[in-house]
Amino acid sequence: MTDTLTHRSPEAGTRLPDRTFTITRHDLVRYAGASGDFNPIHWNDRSAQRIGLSGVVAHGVLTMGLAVRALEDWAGPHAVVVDYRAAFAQPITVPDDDTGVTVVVSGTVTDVQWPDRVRVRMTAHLGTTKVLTRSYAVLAMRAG
Amino acid sequence: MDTDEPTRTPLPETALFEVSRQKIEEFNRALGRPSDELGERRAAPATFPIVLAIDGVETALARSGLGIGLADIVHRDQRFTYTRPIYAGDVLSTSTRIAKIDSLGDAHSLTITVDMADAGGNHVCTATSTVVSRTNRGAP
Repeated sequence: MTDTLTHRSPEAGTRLPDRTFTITRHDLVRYAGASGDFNPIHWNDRSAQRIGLSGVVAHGVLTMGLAVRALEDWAGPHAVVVDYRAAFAQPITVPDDDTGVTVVVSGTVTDVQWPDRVRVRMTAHLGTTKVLTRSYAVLAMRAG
Repeated sequence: MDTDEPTRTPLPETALFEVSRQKIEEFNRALGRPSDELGERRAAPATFPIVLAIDGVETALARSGLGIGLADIVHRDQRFTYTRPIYAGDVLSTSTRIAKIDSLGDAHSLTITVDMADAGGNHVCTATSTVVSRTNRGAP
């Protein structure tokens, strides 16, 4: 049985490989359906502009989900997330085109109390703009 | 204005939520992760409980008396704290409360907690969402 996190022997300062994710309007529609978050600012430019945004923005929890996907892929199937937090510092405007936007997710291990607790600071950037802040996740190896 | 008043009135529990393998797969696909890449991972992704929390946020907004709905807010902060992971087959009940409201004029910040428990009544996850209403409604 693969135990990826054990094999990685994470220590404070270990960096996760950066991951790149593209977000298009199509992804927002799919995520709206899967999450049940149908706030129209995520699919309707007029609604987004009504509350002062420049256009349709990505769901914050979608970005958060992409970041934790990177973390879960790195940690392997036998690590579970026991605590995960993020603040959405800047809205990610997703243009009405086929290209979308590209978000880069990074993570750094900040604390290890094996096997109960591996704390990872997560970040996500859109170009030079940090879109996730005050974000961390705590992983534990699943018992049994 | 900063008030603790809302904390005293938990909102009514919502209907039970049955977590299906298909719903978890749908959520994974929405994160760009097809089921054949999941390998041995069975737990729902860490952000999956937003599916239950969104209902709590909508209910809390409707009950807040602030006259704002989902279309008036942006999400500012989110946290998920787990006692155990969520798996297909779980039947979850939710308990929602407004933990905090900060208002400045017609701008509001609400912190809403949604506690999820399994069929045995044991805590599974708490989703804490902070949402803010945007003030420049109707601005050009």
